[in-house]
Amino acid sequence: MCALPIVFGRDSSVAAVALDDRNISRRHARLEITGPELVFTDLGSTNGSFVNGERVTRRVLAAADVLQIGRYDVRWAFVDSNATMLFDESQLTSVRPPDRPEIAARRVVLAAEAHNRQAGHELDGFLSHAHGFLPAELPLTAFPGSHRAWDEMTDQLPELFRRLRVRRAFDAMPVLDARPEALPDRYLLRASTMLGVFAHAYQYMAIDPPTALPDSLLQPWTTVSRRLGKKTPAVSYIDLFFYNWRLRDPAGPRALDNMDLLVPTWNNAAERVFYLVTTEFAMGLTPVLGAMLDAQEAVAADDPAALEQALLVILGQLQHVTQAIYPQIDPNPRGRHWLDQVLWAKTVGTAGVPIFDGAPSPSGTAQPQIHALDAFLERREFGSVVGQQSIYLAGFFPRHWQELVAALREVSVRQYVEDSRSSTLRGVYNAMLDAYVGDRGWMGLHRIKAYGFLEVAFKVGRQVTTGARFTGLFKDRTWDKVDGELAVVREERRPPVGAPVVFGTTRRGRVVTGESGAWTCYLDIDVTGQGVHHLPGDRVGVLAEHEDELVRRTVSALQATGDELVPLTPQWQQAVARREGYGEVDVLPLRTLLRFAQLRPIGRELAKRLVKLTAVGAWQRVVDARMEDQWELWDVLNLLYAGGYDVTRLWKDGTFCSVIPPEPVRLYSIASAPAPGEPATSLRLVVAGLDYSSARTPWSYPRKRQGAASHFLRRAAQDGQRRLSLQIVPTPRFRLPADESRPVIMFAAGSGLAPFLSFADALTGPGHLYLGIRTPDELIEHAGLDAAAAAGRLTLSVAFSRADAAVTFDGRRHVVGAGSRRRVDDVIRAEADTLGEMLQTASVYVCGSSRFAASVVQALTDIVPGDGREFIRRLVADGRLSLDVFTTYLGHAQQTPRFEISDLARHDTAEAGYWMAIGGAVIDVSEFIHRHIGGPHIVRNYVGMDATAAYRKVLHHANAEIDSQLSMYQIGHLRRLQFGDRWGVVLTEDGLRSQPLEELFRTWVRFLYMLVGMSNALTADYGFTASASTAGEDPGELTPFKAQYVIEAHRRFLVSYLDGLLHDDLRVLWLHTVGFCDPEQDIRSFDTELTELSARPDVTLVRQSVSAVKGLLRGGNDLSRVTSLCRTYAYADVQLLRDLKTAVLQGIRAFETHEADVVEQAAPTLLNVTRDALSLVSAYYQRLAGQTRGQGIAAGDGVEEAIPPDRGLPGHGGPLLTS
Amino acid sequence: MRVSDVMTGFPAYIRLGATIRRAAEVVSVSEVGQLMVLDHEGRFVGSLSEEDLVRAMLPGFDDVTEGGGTLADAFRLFLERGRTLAERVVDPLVVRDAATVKPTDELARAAIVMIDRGIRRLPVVDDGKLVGTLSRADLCRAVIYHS
Repeated sequence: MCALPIVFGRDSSVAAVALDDRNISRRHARLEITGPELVFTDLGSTNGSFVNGERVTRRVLAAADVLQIGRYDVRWAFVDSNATMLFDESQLTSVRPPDRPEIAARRVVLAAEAHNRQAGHELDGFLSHAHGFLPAELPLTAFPGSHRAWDEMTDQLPELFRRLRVRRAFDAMPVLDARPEALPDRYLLRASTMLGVFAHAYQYMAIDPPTALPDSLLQPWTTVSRRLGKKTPAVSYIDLFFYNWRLRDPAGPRALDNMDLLVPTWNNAAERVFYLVTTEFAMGLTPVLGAMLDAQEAVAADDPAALEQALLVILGQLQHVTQAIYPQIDPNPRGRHWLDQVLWAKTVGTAGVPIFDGAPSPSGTAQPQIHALDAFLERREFGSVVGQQSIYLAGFFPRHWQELVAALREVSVRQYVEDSRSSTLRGVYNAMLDAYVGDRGWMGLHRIKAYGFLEVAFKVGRQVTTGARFTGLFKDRTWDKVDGELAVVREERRPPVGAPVVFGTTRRGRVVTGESGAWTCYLDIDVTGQGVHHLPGDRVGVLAEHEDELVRRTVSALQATGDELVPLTPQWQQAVARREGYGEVDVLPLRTLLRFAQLRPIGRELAKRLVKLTAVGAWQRVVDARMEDQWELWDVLNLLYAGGYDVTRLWKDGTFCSVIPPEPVRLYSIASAPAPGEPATSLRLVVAGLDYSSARTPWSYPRKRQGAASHFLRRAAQDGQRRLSLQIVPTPRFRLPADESRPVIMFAAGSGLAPFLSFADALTGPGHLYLGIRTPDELIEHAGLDAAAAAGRLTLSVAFSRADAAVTFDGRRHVVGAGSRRRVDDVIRAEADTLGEMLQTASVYVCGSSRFAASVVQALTDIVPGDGREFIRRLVADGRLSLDVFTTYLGHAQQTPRFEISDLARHDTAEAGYWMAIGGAVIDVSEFIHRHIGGPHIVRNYVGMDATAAYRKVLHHANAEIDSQLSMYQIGHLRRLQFGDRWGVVLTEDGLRSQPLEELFRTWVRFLYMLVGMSNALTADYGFTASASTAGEDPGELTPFKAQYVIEAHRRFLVSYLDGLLHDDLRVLWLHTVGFCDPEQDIRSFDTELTELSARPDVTLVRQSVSAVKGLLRGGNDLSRVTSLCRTYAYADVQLLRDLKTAVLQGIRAFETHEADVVEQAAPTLLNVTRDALSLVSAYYQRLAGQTRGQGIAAGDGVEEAIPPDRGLPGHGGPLLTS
Repeated sequence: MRVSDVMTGFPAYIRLGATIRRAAEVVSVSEVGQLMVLDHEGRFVGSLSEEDLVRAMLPGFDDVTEGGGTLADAFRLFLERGRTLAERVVDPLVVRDAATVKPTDELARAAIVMIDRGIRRLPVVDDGKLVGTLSRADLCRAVIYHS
């Protein structure tokens, strides 16, 4: 879409519409409005301009006139950018103007539909407007009588798995003929799915693979694969997902609740949920295919309105599948479709890994929708491992899919959107892109979710993904590598378009100041024509600018004039590009830069960076005390200058931008809602003013401070007409219920009212809003609340905490009358009966400070009948409790209780409670573990230790929605020990080194966390024995199938955990501790003892017996001995880690007690602990050897299995075959 | 200002083939941390730092484990190696690709290379012949003290 007048031509620098054709002049023709007429003028072109086939120099156009320029036919339409609306999705694929030029991709789909209809089967690829990439015909549920043996096998698989008898059963199955004369084409897809699943069941039933597949499987599977055009038999995405479902009610919808697996393997919950949700996800994407074709046709027809509608369909559908269908894979045990990550890892997770080297895998990159979207979005880079794999897998696509993906590349929607210079189209295009690759879009959510699955899975021993194989020790954090791959590939998908920014203009707003001096600003931002589509509950990110006074003060603290030019880093360039009026700049004057920089408060990372850079002791002490957030950049600079640091170096040597980060986006809930399907014309914000004084402490001084963003918005509201850079941030978990009859209960404090103003506009059903504020003068009139109350859709209850007043509704407006002061949680308790009743079905929303949210949740816990905590857990699992928590910063960093690391490490069991540390804060997650959306396993993995890295890895810290919830559970912070400048000499492999005492302490802490982390992982691993791994099983029974995993976990404990612990980590701990504590100690004694230990008969017996026990299990005759040993393993392994932890904690406590004097005061303790650790391991082997002998197993009955060689990362369980 | 204006004109040096004991003696007497090294024809070949002398005496991990295994052993070995090394020639410890300056070079040029590469004393070489050295102290004296 373009604004008139426009020039057509070959040269994009002078023509708004650039046409790629040598026969077109650089400036060829012009289209403009002259009075009431639309006029087309040739600009003296070489080859002429034509209207309806007639050469013209100037022509007044009539509707439907077609312009010809070179080889292009140009059609046009007038668009009023405000008059856009959402299409009815069901109509989209069929409603097309008859004169639309047909694009290549459309031709492919139409041809595929015709071909499949004519052939009577869909072997060349499912492809249709109605069902997308899924079969148009329902998958067949039975073979003819000749192949009944296969059908009969399906129901038996779970039982065979449970007893580890899969292989015996298939060895005994007859070899059936799969040639065309015996098995007609229409049965091929069923045969492919079934034989593939059988073969993989045979392969992966036991941890040790069989030598070969039996003829009963290999022969027909090979035949079927060849008939389908596959050189090597392999389970495809079609086999496992698209053709592996049946409808319970054939007339019902294609949705999870109406589907079963066609060929289940274990038929456990993990398998059902994982496969069927993936299939439903694909079904949900069907409208995207039609919309992509519509979008390309709209481009070909130069129809911006139609393009916008098509992009909106893609946007809406992507949001639907990621926010409604995908979350059905729910790691929460109380969820409706619970998928236990450990169960998944031990069964479904590896089931798709190809049996034969080089065969394609059914990994996520084999999804045809992704390839279609990538083509549509013009992805060009496939350099990453996943990208390479993706291309490799696409080579195995059926014909129709390959043709479609190629055809979708022929039209560039992106180019059209760029050339149109339409802010509406750009807004919608960017929103669609964000819904695909953004942090909260499909790929972003996938990465976060996958990370949880991968981490849990790898910790319980999974060594392969369906795409790649990894080996490694516990501490190698293999899952991080996989996650890194996912991050890279997401970037490859991002086409070269500008930042996802929309620009708004503020209208004059209103500032309400209460008696206390606290103020709230209500302002509206005009976003007409920006293509902003948002839902009630969404947030908007605002990029603040600092006021002149703060900039001036910072310039002066930098001892600069402000005119100095500062080069920008890439991070800064991106940030500046989001500001209106700044395109791609790589240098800015210091003064301008400071407007956009994060000047207050000082963040932790910046604080540490400044310590490193300046080495100023005074600042170091502030940072050690965690008091940096009491400071602003300018006064830190003054402090650094006073401490001898030359602050001018910051801007003189060009490091400024690599030290000082740009101002981040600050999020506000949108307090308005557009009509459904309409773009927003304005966004209302409710901004609470942030003013406070920094604390008077040894590390900070009292001074009035202001919040950067709230004061910026206040200024913008007072001035009006200020341009803002905005970013719409969807909040999928803070949405009105899909079921409109469900009651909605909202709790808000202060400016937490904002999202509920948008809810009130959109509410159709009964809503109840509880608002807590201080005094009546802080309450302003909201027309939306009055209207909703008048329509009977809303009741409003206001609790004034500092005034004896109450609010009633007089039929038209809410009015303040007499009452008594109270808080929202008082109201909840007072209305316990009615609320308790409503809570049984209602959706509950809380928005306010973390303290408010905690008090509301506590009050709700208290009033419901029965176990209140369990009730809240279920509420969360049902998706009926949504929190929008914000941290109102009040400068209280130091005022929480201090804890020691030894306290933290003790809280790693249900009895002691679960704690973890994140960024120095101590969090009590005992209750949260049941509320975590990502499930309990991932939280459980980090209790009793520092979880900062894992927390940041999933970007939780960058997601304010999540990060602010932490403060609801924070109980204090970790004390930082003071070691002064103590140091010692240690002998390392690299020779003699001096080392700070603090480094020795860190080595101890790392060792402690390693023990805690291993113990957490092992608990999850052995916890698998309590799950229902196959359909119809008693979870309490240790079936042979589960027993093999206990044996495997035990083997891994010996090889991956214990050996690494002793030979690397404990050894380093020993070497370093000896260096500090005892120069007379022979460091070789550790290695000597370790060698002696390994040579002991007990150790040999324990390690060799593993394969003997496995043999017993396979033999299947003496299961009671196996079961008994399995219980011994599970107990002894966990117990050893506990004992080691207890020992190490003594050392940690010595550090905590003596700090800098630990060597003088407690050297013998530290040395003893390291020695004790070896004796504990020795005792463990002795105990275990006794039990093993007791079961009649001797050394020599088995052999110790070697760790298989690492086959590297590239392929699909094996190396990639390239020809 | 030129290098020749401020350099030390009579640098401490030794010749290839000298013993490490001789080098230590020169270091001790001259109180210079960086000795210049000449070949038998008197041409400049490189430099030898006291740091490298000391580093050569420090025992490695294997030396310690073979020599008793305790830190106390490591400290003893340090002294023993000093005695053993004393009679060896300096040649293996000479840094031969040392940065040099010419007497006609601008002082600032020399200052930059010294700071960037952490050099404490630069050889001043003219047509292969050592004509002096330039230390950080020389720089400070010339540029700050006498200015």
